[in-house]
Amino acid sequence: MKISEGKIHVNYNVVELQLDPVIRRRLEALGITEGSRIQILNKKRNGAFIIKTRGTRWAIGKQISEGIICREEKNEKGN
Amino acid sequence: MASLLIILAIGVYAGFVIKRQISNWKKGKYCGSNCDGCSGGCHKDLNK
Amino acid sequence: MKKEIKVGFLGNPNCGKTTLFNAFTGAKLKVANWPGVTVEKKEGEAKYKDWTIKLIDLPGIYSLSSYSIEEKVSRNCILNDEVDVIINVVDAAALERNLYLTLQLLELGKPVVMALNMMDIIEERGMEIDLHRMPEVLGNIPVVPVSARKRTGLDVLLHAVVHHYQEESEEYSLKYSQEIENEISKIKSKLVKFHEDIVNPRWHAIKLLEGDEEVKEKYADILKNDSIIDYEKKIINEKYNYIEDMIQEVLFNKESKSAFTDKVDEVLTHKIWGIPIFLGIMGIVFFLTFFIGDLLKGRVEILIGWFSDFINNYLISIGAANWLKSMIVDGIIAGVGGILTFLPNIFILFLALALLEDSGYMARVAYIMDGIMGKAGLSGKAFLPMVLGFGCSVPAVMATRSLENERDRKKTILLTPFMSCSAKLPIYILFANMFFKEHAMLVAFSLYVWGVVIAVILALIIGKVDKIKNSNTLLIELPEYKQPNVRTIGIYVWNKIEDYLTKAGTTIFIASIIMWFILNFNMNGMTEDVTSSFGAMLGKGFGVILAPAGLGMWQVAVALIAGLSAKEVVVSSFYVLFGIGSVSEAAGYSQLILDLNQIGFGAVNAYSLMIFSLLYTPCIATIATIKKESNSLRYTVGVVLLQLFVAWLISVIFYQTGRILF
Repeated sequence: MKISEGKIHVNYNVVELQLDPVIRRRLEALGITEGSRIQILNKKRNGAFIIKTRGTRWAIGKQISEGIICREEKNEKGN
Repeated sequence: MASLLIILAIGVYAGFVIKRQISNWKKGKYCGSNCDGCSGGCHKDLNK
Repeated sequence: MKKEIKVGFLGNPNCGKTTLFNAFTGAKLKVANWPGVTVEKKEGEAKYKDWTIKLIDLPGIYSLSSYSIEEKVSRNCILNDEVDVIINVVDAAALERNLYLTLQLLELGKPVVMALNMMDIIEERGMEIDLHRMPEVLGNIPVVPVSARKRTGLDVLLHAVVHHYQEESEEYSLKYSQEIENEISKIKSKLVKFHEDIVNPRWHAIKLLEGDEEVKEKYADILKNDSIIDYEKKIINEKYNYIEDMIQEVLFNKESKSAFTDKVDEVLTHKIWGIPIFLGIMGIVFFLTFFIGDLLKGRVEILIGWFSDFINNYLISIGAANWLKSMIVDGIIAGVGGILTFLPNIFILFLALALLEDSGYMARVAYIMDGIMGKAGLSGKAFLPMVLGFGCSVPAVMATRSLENERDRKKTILLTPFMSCSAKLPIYILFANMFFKEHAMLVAFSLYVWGVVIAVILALIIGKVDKIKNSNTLLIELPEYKQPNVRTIGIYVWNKIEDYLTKAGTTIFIASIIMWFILNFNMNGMTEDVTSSFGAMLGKGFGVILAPAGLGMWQVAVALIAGLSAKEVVVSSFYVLFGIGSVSEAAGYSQLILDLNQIGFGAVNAYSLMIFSLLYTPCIATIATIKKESNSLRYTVGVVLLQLFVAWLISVIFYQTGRILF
């Protein structure tokens, strides 16, 4: 699922980055790589998000949030 | 006499100011501030 | 042998690198540009025992790829030996992400010393870093905890630099998986074979495997016969896996509950309340600028008044010619002195903006405003240059460089001058105080609001007209909230004050003399009758166009034209025009109000004047910057004309409506 469909405070793992290569590379340099963990801290209706990955907070726009494909991280606190 | 000196002083100062402004413009420094150049984004702003 | 070491400061944006750099060099930076590019190079110097340490502050970067010019400049600087030792400034509170750059720096093969910054934040959060293990997992580089804020660890850092420089250091390298290491060996031997004097073949080999554009171009011959598989993703992943292992070894008590920042963000970036809170904060900034500023303003006015009288008497006593006395007292002192009285307000404004930026709040603003910006086809990132515009339009226009999309840049440049710059503040303060007394602050604030509103409306219109779908790719780091650093803010605000004083002593000085001249001379030489002066002729001509906006008086027209040199000149022109030598609020204003009423200028006209000042062409410095940044004379002329038109239109609307209502 796209991270734009995610819920706040749930841990997700990145599966794929379906984005323009330039943006994809920039995200990878920031540590948003396949398998890395992402958490949503804040959501806005227009698609802008605040996420936390590798200990850093990022504000991302709709285009990016719709390009990060992820799945919910299992085995955390009995989920 | 003193008047003359004053006029001279003002004239010299004004000349210096204008000269400085022109050389600044040639270098691409437009904001008139005392900096060494702002081509990378004004370095005097915290937002580097 | 000269005991000199060249040190480069490298680190992520927002890691406190520049604060640390400033701690070593003070405000005595030398700022220039890297040759041929528009990336700035900051240099300074520090001393340690009998060593001279030349410091270079390189741009904040997240990695050393060849995707951005900042990265290229930084890595070439190191590869070209312009740096002997690297100080890698690392934000201890964001270790995971910062270490990615560290690993890349280590691969460059130069001695690295890590300055572990923000250790106090780590402590506050109850986390701990094993400072013994840290150097070990990084290949035995010195790790020096520092706090740029508290100025601790600075000498230890310099000592580490000197020591590390002097000893023979092994070539450290992170070992990748066997598969990748094999590939690296293969390419490395080829590189060495065909390019004997290649520096750091291992690094180049890794870059070729990553598909690095710059390196591929340079060593295209190696690639010719084999096709090298792109290992970029794998290499990045392996680095991050290694970092995860490292973190396990060195970082303890990683917080699991919301940190202070998260709590604050929940409020400040709230879905619904985010924007109102932002407006509220701006309102407070404004209030302080007026209120505290005005308190101090009275003192400055008294000083200037005293000075003016003193000079006046002196000139009389030495029998100076009347025209000279007039030029000095009614021209220069009136114009420059008048502007200087606003210094306290300017000071408070910049202080407030600096506090907001340094605390980390400004980044949140990009997120908060992203929605609205989106409707105009821009990302929230475009809002940041606009906020800078509240200080001065020149750096704001330049800050649009952070927007990669050219159309977005041009759009933002168009809108930025509508953000009321600090030079316009004296105009609002003067006229709001004169005509709206108790409501002065509210009136002045309304101007700022109108600026933003009109900019947004314009942006929406452009958004509709410009059908091209723009990429709304907001990606901005939200740093931890922190206590603003007194020293950083001090240096920043002081620079702004210096700028203001410089402007007063140069641009406004000259403008006041010119203004005095055109008001006191006409074709027949010096004249007592100001209505027959050059200035009056000029003003009457333009006054015709401005009449529907209630600004048809020649004095007003002349002041507005003069305002092209610098917006503050509008105010100083009024002072020169109406001969107010002593500019104290009580004395000066009542006379000025009377004089203005006599030419038919009342409250509604004042508001119209303020609106016009808000919207019309920015000062020459800004126009020049726009031309430079957009590289297009056509665009620049277009912007100027559009703004003139908008200013005229809106002030006409306000004036005509105001006349009917009031």
